[in-house]
Amino acid sequence: MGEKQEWQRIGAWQEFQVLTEQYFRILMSDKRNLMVSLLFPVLAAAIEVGIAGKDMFYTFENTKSGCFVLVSAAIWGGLFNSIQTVVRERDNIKRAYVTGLRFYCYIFSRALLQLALCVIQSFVLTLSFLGVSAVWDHNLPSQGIIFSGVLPEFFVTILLLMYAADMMGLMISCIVRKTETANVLAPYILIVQLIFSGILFKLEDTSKMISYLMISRWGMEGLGSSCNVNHYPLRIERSSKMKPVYEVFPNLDLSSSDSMFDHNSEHLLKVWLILLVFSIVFLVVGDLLLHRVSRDTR
Amino acid sequence: MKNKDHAYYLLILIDGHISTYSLSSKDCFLLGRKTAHTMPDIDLKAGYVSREHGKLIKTENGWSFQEMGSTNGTYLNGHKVQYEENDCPIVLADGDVLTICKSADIQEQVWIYFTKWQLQPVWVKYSLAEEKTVRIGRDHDNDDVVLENECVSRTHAILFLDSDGNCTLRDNDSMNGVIVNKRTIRGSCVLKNMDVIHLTDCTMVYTKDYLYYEEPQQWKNASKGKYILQAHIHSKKVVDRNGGGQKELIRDVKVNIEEGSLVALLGGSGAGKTTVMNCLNGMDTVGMEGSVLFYGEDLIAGFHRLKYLIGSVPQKEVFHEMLTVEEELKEAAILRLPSGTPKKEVESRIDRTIHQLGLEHVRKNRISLCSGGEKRRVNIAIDLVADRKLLCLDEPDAGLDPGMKQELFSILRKLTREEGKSILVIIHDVSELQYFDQIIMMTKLNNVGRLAFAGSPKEAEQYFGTTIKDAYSLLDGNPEKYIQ
Repeated sequence: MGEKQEWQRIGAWQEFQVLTEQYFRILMSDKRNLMVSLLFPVLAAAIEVGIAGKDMFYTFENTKSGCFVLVSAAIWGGLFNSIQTVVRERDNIKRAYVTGLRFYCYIFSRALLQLALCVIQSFVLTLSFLGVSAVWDHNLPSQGIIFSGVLPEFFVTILLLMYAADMMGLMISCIVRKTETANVLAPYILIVQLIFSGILFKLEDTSKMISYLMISRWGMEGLGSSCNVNHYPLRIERSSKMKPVYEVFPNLDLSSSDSMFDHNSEHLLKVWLILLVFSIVFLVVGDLLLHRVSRDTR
Repeated sequence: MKNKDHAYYLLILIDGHISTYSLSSKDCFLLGRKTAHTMPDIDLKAGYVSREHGKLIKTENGWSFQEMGSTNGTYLNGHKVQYEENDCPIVLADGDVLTICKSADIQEQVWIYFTKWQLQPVWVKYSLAEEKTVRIGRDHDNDDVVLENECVSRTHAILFLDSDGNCTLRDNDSMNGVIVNKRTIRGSCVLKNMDVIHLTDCTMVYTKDYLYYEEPQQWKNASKGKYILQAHIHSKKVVDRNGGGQKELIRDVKVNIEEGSLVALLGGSGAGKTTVMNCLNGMDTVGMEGSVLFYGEDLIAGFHRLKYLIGSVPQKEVFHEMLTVEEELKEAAILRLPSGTPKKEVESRIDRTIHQLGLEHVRKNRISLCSGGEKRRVNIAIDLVADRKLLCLDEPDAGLDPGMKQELFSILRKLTREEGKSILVIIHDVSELQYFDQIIMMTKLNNVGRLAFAGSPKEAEQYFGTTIKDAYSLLDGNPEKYIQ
């Protein structure tokens, strides 16, 4: 077997390595884009801390809004990371395909380094919770649902959400043929995601069904759960010095109104699993759609 | 799609002697045993072959076999060919096997393999008597059967012979695969007597005692001066997006391109230059009727293997601008070169390509910082580094100043002369035609691309009675007069 390996043709693994290395060099050499990608979460975190973080972890509405800002930032960041990745290289892909490029090696190489980028960005976004706590002097939940600390949970949720958005961007990048189309599509996708996140409008019937297909909804559910949004009193309760509803009526069932933010491990794990499945589905669909490159005309 | 214009070949094995025949010189070949009174075209030296055993006849449908009432009869793919005097000849297909044997002893037979694969006259007989493992590939140091062909991988396949005389052939994860009796094998397969094996365009025949294969050096030399491409495109149609139905893009284009030549593909807008090129390089043959032969082999049928011999350089500059010239070529080489190419060879190929295209001074530079001419050369280098036999370039001179154009075309000419590459180039500017060996001129008639001329630039001037530049206006005014 040792002898056989010596002469094996460039296998899928080696091809994946070459393409990953290639993409790494492309990312590193495109410093301007890389800087924008890395500075975006810093800016988003600053907005979160400076503006959206006021009264976060203090009132129900503000905690929800703070989560919503982070969900928006994660989705936009993820989309922005990858939406041009494939479409920009479409001609290269077609040229390489003619000589035997394996599409899945190509797409996985891109997906791997995008994951690395998302890890860094998600880390920065997660730090914004610490910033909010420090600047506005509001305590973070003392412990997480699954982990002992809440910050690792925030990180996992933001990472899974951002990566799902990133893979969605990658999938769109596989579909469109022009970079301009990708750029035009990105804001619309974000708007649709935010509308159906369940935060801006009350969702019922069909719109509620559609919202299940939105990563924004699951991102909100994840962050809301870890924040234990339901635990915080309404703004009006705070301002009128009223006792929180759940303190006045400890046996009141609040699950029907805010079941999105159920504070239990089952719910959070479900959210994580769904976000992971979204990422995988986007990646696989992207790979399949990339095969259409072979039909591109000049 | 019918390929009636192929040159077909016979591979004949009689009593351990193998020979090849090209069926290109005549339309009818008599098969039989040579005696003082009979002189068959193809002499089958065996006592059990009749003097006039059968005939191979070229018909509208291709080649056919006609039994001539021989004593022992003929078998086509194992089935006896019935003889009736007024019977129509049987149409032969690529890969058909005719056998003639004594009825009592089927071991002793004349074996005739009918193929459209170009066969070379000199064959090597490799004994399988004692070998337990036979490595086949292009590695001189490690392979037992060495095939000097760029498309053959190092240790492309391995034959395992067990003590019972059974033989298993394994594809050693080669880049271009192994075909046994016209079927690509997956992993390994047990060989039977008289199985025909193809490793890219090298043909082999397995028998219990020997492995017969084309002599590689002979194969290399024999192809010199031959046609790398022989195409007769009857038409190429696409779906008409405006009016529905089909739209014909080109019609009746017949071209032959010699190996080692620099060929210009000319014509006005909409004359079908790119369509012709995409048919000739096999990149877009959907809706094409006709045939394209690459070294005598059907390019469309064998495209999955032959594509590694053809480089297609798009008009757009397709590379990663952020990488350096060297980085881009290194990745192109690793992804495109055949299996197991050692690092040293990859590096030497990169060095050679950089030298050939005069890119030494920008080797470490980012491509985005290169000049227009240098970028064009990098675009070509990506395919050249993979050592293609045929390079097809779509307007490589677009946007270059006259000096850069001259430099580019002189490099291309050098590649044909020194490296034996065949290069087909679509150009608009005819001021540099002195670099080209051949021109193919397309014109448009009733919105269908037609061939106006194919030959040398000098012949073109004689044909049109004017310079090539002026020939454009002649073709615009009266295309019918010049359509071939």
